[in-house]
Amino acid sequence: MYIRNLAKQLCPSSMRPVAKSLYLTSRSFLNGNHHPAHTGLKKIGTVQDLYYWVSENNLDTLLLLQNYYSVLFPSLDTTTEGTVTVFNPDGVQILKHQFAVPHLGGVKLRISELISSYTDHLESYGTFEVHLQVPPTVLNYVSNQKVLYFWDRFYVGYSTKLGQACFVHGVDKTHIYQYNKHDAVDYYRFPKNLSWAPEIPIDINDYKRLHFIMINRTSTQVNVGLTIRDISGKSVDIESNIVAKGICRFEVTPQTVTGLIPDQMTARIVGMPTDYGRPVLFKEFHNGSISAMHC
Amino acid sequence: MTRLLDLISTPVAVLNSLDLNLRIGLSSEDPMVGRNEPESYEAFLSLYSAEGILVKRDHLGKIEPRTRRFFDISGMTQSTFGNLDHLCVVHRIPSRLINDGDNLEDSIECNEDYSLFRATVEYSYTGGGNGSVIYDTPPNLNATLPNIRTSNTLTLSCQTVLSDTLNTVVVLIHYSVDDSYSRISEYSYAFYSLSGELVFSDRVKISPFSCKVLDLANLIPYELVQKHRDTADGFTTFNLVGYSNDAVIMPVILNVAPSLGAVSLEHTHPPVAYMIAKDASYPRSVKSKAQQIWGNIMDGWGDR
Repeated sequence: MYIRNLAKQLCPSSMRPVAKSLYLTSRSFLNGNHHPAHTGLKKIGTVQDLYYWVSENNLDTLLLLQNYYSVLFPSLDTTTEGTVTVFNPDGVQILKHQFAVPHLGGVKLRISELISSYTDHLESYGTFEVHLQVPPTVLNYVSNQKVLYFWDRFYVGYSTKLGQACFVHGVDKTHIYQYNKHDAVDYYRFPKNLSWAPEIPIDINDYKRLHFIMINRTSTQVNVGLTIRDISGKSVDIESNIVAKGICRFEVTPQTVTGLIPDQMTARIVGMPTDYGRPVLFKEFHNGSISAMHC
Repeated sequence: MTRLLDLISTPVAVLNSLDLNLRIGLSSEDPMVGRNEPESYEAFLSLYSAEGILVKRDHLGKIEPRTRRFFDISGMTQSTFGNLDHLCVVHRIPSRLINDGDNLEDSIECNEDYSLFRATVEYSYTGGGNGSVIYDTPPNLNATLPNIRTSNTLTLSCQTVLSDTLNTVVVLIHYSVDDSYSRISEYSYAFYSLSGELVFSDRVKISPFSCKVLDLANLIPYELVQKHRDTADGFTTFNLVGYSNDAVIMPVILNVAPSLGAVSLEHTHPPVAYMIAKDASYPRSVKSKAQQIWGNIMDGWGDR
């Protein structure tokens, strides 16, 4: 990893695409029967990610799980099965729920209902993972492929008791499930220490509460920080340890940033553990409405 | 070689028919900290008519290094376009690359990597909350260049929820980085129930440099929405499949509840992003074949 990063830094930016292509090709040749991106990507299977769930006050998490195999393989009967596994903020499993997924159809689930029917847990947020099995017909159809993984990029929904819903897409990967193997392979074992500068201008007066949500998809505890800075250079820092496969919510309210110019602020994440593990920005407004976005 | 205007840009639908205010948030910082040094940028706005004709191009202003700026697009455009939906494109150009008298249409050699420089597209109802998403123009979008593959689209999404208060609006953006692009695209689409039953299908034509708004509460017959309603929460949810054989269409899906002052939005991922293959051409071939089959399926339905 270190040598690869050093080589990347030394390589002129104009040469990087060529160098990357050469690197991936040679690595693929040397590594044999797996995808060059990861040694765990062997044969056929799926890649799944951890998503944020919340079930508190006015909020619930709405899962509308589309059978995406039907869209990719419309001439096959893509009926399949799936599971959703719900974890607390420290990555401890709370429940696992199985369901059937019709061809061209989908499944609708609410996290609040799953929690109340399975457990007496009191946590109000955490992570969850969805796993739609590769349908048998699709497995058969793609069996000539040496390495093929389906990566479910679904949109998680959140709803309010007022009757609103919003969605945000997945961004990253957490587990590799090779077909016919029970145990998952971690996509990331060790964290990086990256910084990310969300594009969105922040006017805190617009919000009742903002959450910057960070998920640690690696197998190692990390320390992540959020800096809110105004145009004059004044800043507020918040930081938190996130256990392996855990989640952290950085709450920003008008009170959190007292003393900063409220309508001229930017955010920065420090200690981001994975390249694509950007924060989810969860917005709650004074009128009770919500929205969510990836930064 | 890249046009100055296309170094960093985002095509955005101005949704006047929905009474939605539009702001664009722009940053002068590379989100991937450490890749490009912070510097100042000049922001420009290209405004297209509802029919896709370039009406004007304005300088929005400068974004100083390490800052973010919101630009109120609705405030600038509503007097010209009234209640019509239309396309605009927001461009960012590093200030150091522009000299007085430069033609923004000129192409330059540029070694910097501006991928992931996305604009914040934010809609809101007056006095309500806002919804936002970040995206940018994909490289060579609908470019009519030699050796560029024919553009096409396959869309899937679960983000369709209808209720007494909630509506879903699918916005189809048809933009090109090539000013001479003139293809009118046809986009066919279908909605399926959670049980896999076909609920509604149709097709639309979309002029270049324009957007098409699919207001599902107005499109899908009320009795069908009622038939598939979950009585527990009042939500009717459908899955979307859509395709175009002749252009890359960028769908943005809005969930709006005007009575609650609530709006949210999200883009969709292309289907090839759902596959990680050692044979890098395989996801594209799966997509092409799926698109062909969807074409046969939807053509078989005829005009519904």
